[in-house]
Amino acid sequence: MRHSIERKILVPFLIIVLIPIFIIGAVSMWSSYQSEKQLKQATVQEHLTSLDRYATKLENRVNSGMISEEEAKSLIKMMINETKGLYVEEADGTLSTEGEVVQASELDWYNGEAKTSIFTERTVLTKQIEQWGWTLYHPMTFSFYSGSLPNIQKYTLLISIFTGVIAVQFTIILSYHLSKPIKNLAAFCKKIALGERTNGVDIDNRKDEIGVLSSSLKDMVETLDERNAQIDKIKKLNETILNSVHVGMVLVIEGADSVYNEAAQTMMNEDPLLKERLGKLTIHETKRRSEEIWDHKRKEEKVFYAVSYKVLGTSEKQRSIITFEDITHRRKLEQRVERMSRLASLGEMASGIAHEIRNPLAGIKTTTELLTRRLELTKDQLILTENMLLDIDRVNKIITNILQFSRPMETNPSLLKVDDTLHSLVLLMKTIADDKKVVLHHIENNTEIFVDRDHLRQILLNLILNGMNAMPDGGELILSSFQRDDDVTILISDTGVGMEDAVMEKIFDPFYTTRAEGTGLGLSIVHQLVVQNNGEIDVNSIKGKGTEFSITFPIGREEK
Amino acid sequence: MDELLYLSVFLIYTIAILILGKHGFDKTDELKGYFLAGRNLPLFPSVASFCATWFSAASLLGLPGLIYEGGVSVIWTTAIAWLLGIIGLFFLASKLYTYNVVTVPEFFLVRYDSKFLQIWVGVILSVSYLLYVVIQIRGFGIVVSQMLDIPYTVSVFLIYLFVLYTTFGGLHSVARTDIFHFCLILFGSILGGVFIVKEIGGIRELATGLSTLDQSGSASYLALFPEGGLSFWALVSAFFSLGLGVAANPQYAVRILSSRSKQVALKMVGTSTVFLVLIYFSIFVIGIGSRVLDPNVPFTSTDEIYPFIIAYLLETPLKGVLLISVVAAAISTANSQLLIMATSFVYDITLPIRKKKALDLKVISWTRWMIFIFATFSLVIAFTPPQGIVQFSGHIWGIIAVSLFFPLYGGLYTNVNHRQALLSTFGGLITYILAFLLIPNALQPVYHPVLPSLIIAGILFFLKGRGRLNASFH
Ligand SMILES: Nc1ncnc2c1ncn2[C@@H]1O[C@H](COP(=O)(O)OP(=O)(O)OP(=O)(O)O)[C@@H](O)[C@H]1O
Ligand SMILES: [Mg+2]
Repeated sequence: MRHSIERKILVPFLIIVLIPIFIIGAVSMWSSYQSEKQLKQATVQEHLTSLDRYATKLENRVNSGMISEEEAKSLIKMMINETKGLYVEEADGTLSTEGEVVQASELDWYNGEAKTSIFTERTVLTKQIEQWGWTLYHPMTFSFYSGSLPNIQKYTLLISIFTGVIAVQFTIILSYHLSKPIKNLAAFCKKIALGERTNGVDIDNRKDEIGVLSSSLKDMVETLDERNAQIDKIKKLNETILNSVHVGMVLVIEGADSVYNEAAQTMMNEDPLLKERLGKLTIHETKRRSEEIWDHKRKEEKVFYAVSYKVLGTSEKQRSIITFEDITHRRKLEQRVERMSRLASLGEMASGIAHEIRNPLAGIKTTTELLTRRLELTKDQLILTENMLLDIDRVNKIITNILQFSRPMETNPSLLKVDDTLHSLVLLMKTIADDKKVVLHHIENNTEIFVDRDHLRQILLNLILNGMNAMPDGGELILSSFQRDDDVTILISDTGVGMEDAVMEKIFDPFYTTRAEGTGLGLSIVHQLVVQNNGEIDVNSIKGKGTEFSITFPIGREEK
Repeated sequence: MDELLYLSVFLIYTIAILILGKHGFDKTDELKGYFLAGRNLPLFPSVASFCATWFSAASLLGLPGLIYEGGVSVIWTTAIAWLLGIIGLFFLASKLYTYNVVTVPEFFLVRYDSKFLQIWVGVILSVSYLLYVVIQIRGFGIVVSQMLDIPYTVSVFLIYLFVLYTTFGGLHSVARTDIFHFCLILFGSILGGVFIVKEIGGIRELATGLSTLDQSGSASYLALFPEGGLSFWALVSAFFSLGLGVAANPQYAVRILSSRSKQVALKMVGTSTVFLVLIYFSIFVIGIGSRVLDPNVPFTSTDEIYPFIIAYLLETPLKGVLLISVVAAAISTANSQLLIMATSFVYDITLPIRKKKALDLKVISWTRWMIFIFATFSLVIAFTPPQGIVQFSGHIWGIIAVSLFFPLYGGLYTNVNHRQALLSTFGGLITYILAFLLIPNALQPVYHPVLPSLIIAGILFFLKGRGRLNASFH
């Protein structure tokens, strides 16, 4: 990180720490340099002054005649020559040092070309010996790395480096120490921001403000985590509820895609027509209705849906929720119950009538027989009475049938192998079937049921006959069975004429028939027998293709 | 004038170390990161760190002196003995890397399932490295105080600051500064050789100088073998103490563990060998070159010869680099030893005894404190080294060889159990101390205490195990 807190602490502190060290070092170096320079200058100056004083003394002696001027000059010269770096310019302009004559042009300081650079400083100290017109020159050079300075400077430098190193190291460690917890905290926050689990992260337990910050942050994150977990839990629960109900739900949102729950989706996948109808729904439509029943054909089978609408009262977007439920099965149950009650009342009425008719009919029959015997009748008349008797018998038979299906019959159930019964029936019907060019198929499935043997035979016989009757031009009649859970279903399907829906609703009614010679009691009796054996009967038929009856019985011995 | 030069080079070095060492601080949140640089060092840093740790101030200063004094044949008992230890490191690298451990003593816990062994190895390392660091600081202090003409205490305190600083950031810092140190050592030694040859006046001059030396000298200076042949026992002694000391030395094992992969570890050992030979060759040239340059250098200890040559016989501003290369060697060795010492103490002694788990951050900060305490302790000892410590420190390699070689290598290559390992390490160490006391000092270079003690350690490690536990190599 470029702008990390560590840098923000480190850089200013480094500057604060290093600048004084640097300044102290530089100043002490400068002052030692200066003091050395002054010391040197002072000694040289003193030397020049003493030469001058000596010259004055010698001049006095010359004046008093003790020595000659030549002698005095040579004495001074000697002293001058002994001093290194001292130049003397005599009155005639000859320049000499240490007894040797030098050319003035060779000396840059003399020509004023002496330059002071950053590291070296030059000055020339001069002194006039007036009486002889001499000038003494002492050029001097000072630099940071000459003379005794390096020794003094070395320690200054060393101490600067030394203290500098200590100071810098302490600063670095200090800034690291200060910023580390903050960095840790930042890293911790970053992890949270990235949504990582925070369990593994440990922030040390500090007692200072950062400690407070980090521990409260930790607490915050923990409570947040807890809340999130709770919310997640509730959300999951809601979702599972929503998705495990069998009711389809659609949320229609204005100007957006509708949302479907799982049940809705599976139902729509199975039923393209439903999907189409749901897809067409608009908010506007849902506002007008609250409940309705949809019915349409799904794979040749009629299905029913109970659909209800509810507009959700939110201000911004119009939304409404539609729930729908497949009620086909319920519908069938209802129809069955309704049929049973209808048949029951019809049967009661019919049996009442039959009962009332049977006694007079018996009277009529005996009277007719008596009359036939007592009256001398012609051959034609005899035929008529015989017809009369035949009709009476026919009525009687009908009455017996009516009484049979209306009266509760005794059942005597036993465990039967379905295949055995079917097999014997196939054998029995073989000749008739061949006559009608009907092929009988029996598919064996090894199922067992618990019913009355005679009743089952009668049921199946009726259904087989009906099937054959529905195939005047021949066809196939298939008998099969299967077991599902604790129920066994026997299927009798034909490839006959089939029925319309309207017909199908009435076929179990007594006396409903479409055949001239039929009584319309066959299926009524079948129904009655099935119900009495704790079974259920269903029919599926497609006009022109064929019909399939299914009867279902429990397998077990369990009776209520 | 030279002092100013040295000071400015020193200043530049200081700045570089401060910057390089700083980076390690940011990467030290967990133990593996701090102790082993996350076990993720690439080849070059590994090689650099390995070589920089290898060359201590002693070898960079002492070896030229020894060669100056003793002639070419000195290499048998020094450089070659050390280099032989590398063979062991190859074996170590191919097995040790697979262990998921943070320190070398922890390997003993994992391998032998013995906490006691871990603590014991931790103690050996803490004590012997403490001595070693003292030697580093002392040797460095003497040289720098002579060269910069500053008090010994000041120069010792300076190295203390550097070592402390580079160790604080953990192996990240150590490895990072070691790259710099390695370059300094490499260039310093090569430059040293080059300057000395140049000062003599070229290769030809060196050759003629050598031949005259050989004629005038008492013994055959150039002979590969000393007069009367090399003593067999001296050779074995050197190999056992130095070679096996290198092979068993955790400061190299740590470099193996910190490599990015096993392949990198093996390559590191191989590549480093090349550099080590190169540097040893340069040191060799420095040694014999110095002799040609001036056969009469005044010295009381051979350690002073090279500094004398640098200070008085070479005329180049780059000789600051030569000085700094000695500094680099001292610091890079001392800091890794200090790190191992502190980690051994905290991770392998304190934590197992405490028995309680501690946060990584806590352990790291304890380790830092231990680094500080140990460094300060070494500094205090280095101020006024007690009599005998210097003499005894020459035995550190031998002690490490005796107490660690069999448990470490045997642990990797056999299935010997912890009882044998403990017996071997204790028996070896006791024998060593006895031999050290009993064998006369004058005889020790030839009949080194390591000879009997290593044999005892080996016997104890294998003998009982063979009979009873059916140890087998795997
Ligand atoms: N397999 C079938 N295929 C087509 N229509 C059928 C089938 N079974 C029954 N039906 C229709 O149901 C009506 C009623 O049948 P039901 O058995 O009750 O009377 P029936 O067969 O007409 O007379 P009966 O059974 O008394 O001889 C039939 O007239 C026929 O229209
Ligand atoms: Mg019928």
